[in-house]
Amino acid sequence: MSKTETDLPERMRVAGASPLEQRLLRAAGSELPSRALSERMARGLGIALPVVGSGAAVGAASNAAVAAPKAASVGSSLLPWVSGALVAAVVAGAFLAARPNATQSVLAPAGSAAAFAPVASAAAPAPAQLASAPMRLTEAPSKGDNAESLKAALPPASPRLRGGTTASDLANQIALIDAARAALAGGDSARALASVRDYQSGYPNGSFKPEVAAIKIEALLKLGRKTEARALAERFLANYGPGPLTDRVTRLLGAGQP
Amino acid sequence: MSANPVTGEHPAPPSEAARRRLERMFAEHHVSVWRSLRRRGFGPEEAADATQETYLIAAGRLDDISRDSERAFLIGTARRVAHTLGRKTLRWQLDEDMDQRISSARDAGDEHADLQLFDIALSKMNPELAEAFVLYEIEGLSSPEIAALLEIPLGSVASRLRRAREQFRDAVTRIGRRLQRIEGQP
Repeated sequence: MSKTETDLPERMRVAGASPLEQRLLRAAGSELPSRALSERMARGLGIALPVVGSGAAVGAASNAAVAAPKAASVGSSLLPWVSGALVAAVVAGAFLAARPNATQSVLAPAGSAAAFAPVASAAAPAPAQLASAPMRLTEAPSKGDNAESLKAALPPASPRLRGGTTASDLANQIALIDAARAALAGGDSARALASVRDYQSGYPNGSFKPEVAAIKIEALLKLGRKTEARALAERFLANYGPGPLTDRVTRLLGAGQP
Repeated sequence: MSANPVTGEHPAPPSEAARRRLERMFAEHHVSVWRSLRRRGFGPEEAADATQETYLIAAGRLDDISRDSERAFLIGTARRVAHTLGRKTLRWQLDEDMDQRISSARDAGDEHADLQLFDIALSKMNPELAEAFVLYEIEGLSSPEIAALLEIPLGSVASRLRRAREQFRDAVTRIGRRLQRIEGQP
């Protein structure tokens, strides 16, 4: 154990808390999503929950956070179908070269609670629907995800997340960000900016606006467009709260000072 | 699944291993992810949606996630999703009507009352400290996990946790006093 680790205070739930503190910590640590909510999330991802009888049991395992993975038991309860949501997300990396199909994300702007307006089970396609696009998961040993086979296996319509963002939207957004990052890492800042522009025009309210803005700032700086970068960075810092990205932009801003 | 007309090869099927891994990650960590979003002020359903979005992102990045950092990756991604959705800091503005909220919490029944009181205490803390506090005290993350997730030095983790604990204690003490006062009222 490192010195820093040993310097950490002992966890309050272990020792040193007053009875009221203990009660509140216990309450916070034992809150669980209902079984129905857990099932809804799993359905939306096209995966199965372990058959444990209740959400509480799943949560207890998670809360312990020390249990060894039980992949076999999880796998034994697989649903007989896989949703397009998972497939689309898994192949996100394989879509690097694909331009988003101008399917604009309809996520509400940041700060709007309407982004999470209830949509009943929209992300959970019925098994019967998906049965029309069966996936032969055991046909051959995997040599990595193959984009063509995955795309072929997709059901006609991607499941839609609450707020209207589809899984393929997310995959496309991630692909564009990956492309921008790769270009930036490869020293091609102009290409990074092009990917940023593609993202911003295709997904004006996309899920990764802050990440894209940070990439843009870095690309502009590398291109020597310091005035634009600075203006954008200041706007970024005004709009977003503390976090790793904010720290990064702050560092970029400092590094870009004349 | 048809053969490639050019090569004649059959495309490889999607990775079963990836799907199983995501299932395992979901079984092991979705409660922590969901709960971390709840502590940022999301309602149960909202937190479920954001959790789902978090796992969709993770599904596209499985190759980048080491086995040891799955939970930190997921909670970190959930944090970014929350930022994207406008929950930059904990959304609890309770200064004005703390007494009323404490009363409501007490009326909500034991199970929920303590949770609401915890959130009230959290609302009284510096958001950065509260975040580290929740990760350490509630979700049980290690200091390296927290350091990686928050992108801060290990030493800063210990420092934040100590200050967080002081603030939490102060807040709970005040809540305790108000509870006594409320209970003392006719």
